[in-house]
Amino acid sequence: MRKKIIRIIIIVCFGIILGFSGFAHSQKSFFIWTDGYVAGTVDEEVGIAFTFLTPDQNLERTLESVSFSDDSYVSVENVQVSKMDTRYKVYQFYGITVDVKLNKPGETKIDAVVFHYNNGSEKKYVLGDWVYDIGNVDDGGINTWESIAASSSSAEFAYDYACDKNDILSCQIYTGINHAMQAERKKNEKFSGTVDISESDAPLKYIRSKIVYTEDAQEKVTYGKGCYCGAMGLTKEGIELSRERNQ
Amino acid sequence: MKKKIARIVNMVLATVLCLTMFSGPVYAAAVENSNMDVVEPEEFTGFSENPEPGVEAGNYLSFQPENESIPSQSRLASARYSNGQLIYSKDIALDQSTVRKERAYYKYKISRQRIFVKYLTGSWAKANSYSWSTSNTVTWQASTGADITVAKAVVAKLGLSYSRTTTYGTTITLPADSSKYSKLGFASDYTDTTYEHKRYNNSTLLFSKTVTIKNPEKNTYLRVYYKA
Repeated sequence: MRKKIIRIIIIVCFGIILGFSGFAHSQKSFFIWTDGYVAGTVDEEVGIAFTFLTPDQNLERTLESVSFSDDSYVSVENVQVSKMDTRYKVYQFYGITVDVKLNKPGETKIDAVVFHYNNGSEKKYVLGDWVYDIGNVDDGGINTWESIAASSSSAEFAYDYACDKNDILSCQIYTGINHAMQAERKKNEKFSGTVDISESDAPLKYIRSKIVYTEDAQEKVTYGKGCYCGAMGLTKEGIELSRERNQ
Repeated sequence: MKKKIARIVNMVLATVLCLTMFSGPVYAAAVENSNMDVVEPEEFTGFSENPEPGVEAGNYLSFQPENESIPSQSRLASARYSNGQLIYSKDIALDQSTVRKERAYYKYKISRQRIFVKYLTGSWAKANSYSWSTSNTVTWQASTGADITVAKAVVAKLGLSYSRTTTYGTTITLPADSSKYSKLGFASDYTDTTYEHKRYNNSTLLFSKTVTIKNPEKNTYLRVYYKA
């Protein structure tokens, strides 16, 4: 009888330990699932902010640097970690802002970053599906500075591009998620509209568009300044979706 | 030998039972306690600051956010109203012989995209980037002189939103043209609804007033505004 009781106690303890280890596993850090398309020119540095959720309250002190596993096309030049006021369950929100340098022309796909900690350890974290589309030159015929920089909808990419050249009345906008979209305008008006990007289920998308237009019978290229689609409308469902996918 | 095997099987079964018992409640507790703490939204001050040329700057009263959620079906219902249709009616007995009659008649509505709401940064600066990670609220407005009781009733009747709060759980870093003076700004889609408010004492018309109410839609935006 006594032996039986001891056996039951051991089994219960074993179960509790396993149960808690399962809970600890469910608290692993993760990035908000963000798909991205970054178009730009060689040697350009693009600042991109990611949102990271972790139970760690000291990340800003323990994280030393961030890198990509392959830095031939793009590399992380600088990283800033900021603790946000937002919390979700046991998670603390952090803003991880990286300056990404575009190293050589071409296209590359990257889905994760590697964290390097002060104690010498490393850990890889998934971001989402990212495409870097790097060109040689920015012709700059269309002004993209005043376009939308963040929006609440992750299903569409909103743009407002100004142009003071009356011979440029149409352009093609590349977002990486959908096919290139033809945009048109009247003289003295802006290129203004939206591109459907609902093909991707990510709750957050970063789009730095490529804009192709014709001037003096020549095809030219310029670039957007980046837009965080869905950043102002992140929901609990979006966080849970990110946890399921990226944890 | 048989006893030993039976004992091992018992132990495995008991372990599985324990795992089911404990991991479930622990996770459930975490879910129940979940809440999303968001930075307190700034108070909306209406169009007090004069925005860029071409950006809305009318005489409108703005209101504090009200946590009233509008079912999507009633929002769709607002599309059914036609010009001249009665959308609000109330009779109040002022004394034994006088009845105050409030009537509102629908005229038209306009959807407007990416309308400036407010600046999020202080003075104009030649900044090369902006970062933002807090919440914003955009609230409904009615044209100056509007009867607020009637305007509120019209908003409810048409199934429009009193306010929209953006829940920023994310950090945003955006570049700016450092050769120009700029500010970070907040914009929203709006529906502008115009109606005729008529007030009678019995059958005597006291006034007839055209009122426009501006109600925020779900899409909100951040953008950099440049000084002209």
